[in-house]
Amino acid sequence: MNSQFKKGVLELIVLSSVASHDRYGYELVESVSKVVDVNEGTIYPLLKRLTNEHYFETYLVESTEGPPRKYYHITSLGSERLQLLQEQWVTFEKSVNQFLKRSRK
Amino acid sequence: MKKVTFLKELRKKLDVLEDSEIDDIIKEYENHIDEELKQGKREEDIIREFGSIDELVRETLKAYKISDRYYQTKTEQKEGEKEETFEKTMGKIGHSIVSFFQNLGNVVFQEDGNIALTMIIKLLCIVLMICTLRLPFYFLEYIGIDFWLFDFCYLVIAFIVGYYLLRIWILDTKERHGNEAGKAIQKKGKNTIHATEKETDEAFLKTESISERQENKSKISHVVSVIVRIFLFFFALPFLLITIGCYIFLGVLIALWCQGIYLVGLLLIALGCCLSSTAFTTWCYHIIVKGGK
Repeated sequence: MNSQFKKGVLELIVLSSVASHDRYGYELVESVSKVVDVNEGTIYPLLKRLTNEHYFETYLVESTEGPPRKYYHITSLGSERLQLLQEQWVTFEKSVNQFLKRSRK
Repeated sequence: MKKVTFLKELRKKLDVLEDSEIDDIIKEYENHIDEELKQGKREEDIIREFGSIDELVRETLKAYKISDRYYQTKTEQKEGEKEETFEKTMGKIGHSIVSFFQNLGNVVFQEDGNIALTMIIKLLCIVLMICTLRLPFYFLEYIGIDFWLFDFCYLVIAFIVGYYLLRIWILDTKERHGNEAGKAIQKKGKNTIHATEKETDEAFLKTESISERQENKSKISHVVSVIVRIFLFFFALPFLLITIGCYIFLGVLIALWCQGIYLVGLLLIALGCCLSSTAFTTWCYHIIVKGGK
């Protein structure tokens, strides 16, 4: 898939993934890479940015399998952002699809 | 690339951030690698999937609103530091000395201070600098090389250096006067339209001194580099003679070798002396002539 497409929707996917339930870094990367094929390394900087912009909160949970895991939790600000991005995505997708349908005729 | 090298490099490139933040980022990547290792992947493959470290660093710094340009200039600076020329370093030293004395002057005499007293301090600095120029000559005399022209050389060098320093510092004070004169002209200009010849002269002096002031910085670095070059010149001169002597000695030894007299120890010593003194002299020559570029 076009890498510019991916970059644009990555934030939306990460936000909605955390919104469904709290996730830790690796789990999130796994779930996101199922949808879009991205360089896994670049998801961590995105998580960092979303945390710095107060869309996410983090907390540590002890793990039986190794070091404590950092979980990401969406804030109310993050939910607002998600809503906005979702709306934008839906209208964008709709208009693009309509345009494509019309030009096919 | 191995996990340890990857993490170490990442840490190094993120050093603009706070330590706690760097630790946090590193921990995330470390956990990721560990989880992947559990799945049975190879260390090298996991890290290859991350792509280029620079890209990761750039993305991470963006999360902190640090622009690419900062990152680039930072890395460029690091590379540039090595290429910094001799003259620039000398200029920096010169600047720090000058600003030290200027600060000293400001502390002692506060803000504007008494111009006469600051001038005295500046003169003392000049005398001090000229005195230090005498050191290499003493050194040569101490070794036992006595030459009547030395005194003459010293006088010439001292005069040149003193002249340059005086020029710079006097211009500096002139500029202050010039500024005051400029202000006076502005005030008078409101009252009288016709400026007298003297005033136009002063105004001319002012603009001239400001442009000279801008050149001062480069001049100071120039003077300091000249001083250091003179020092090195007096170091290099005896070494040049020693080098020539060494080569002659080496030649004699080789000639003796041909005639069947084997002096292996002396030959090795001569060879070592030749190499080391040649290296030192070429280094000196490099700095004196090309300014260490």
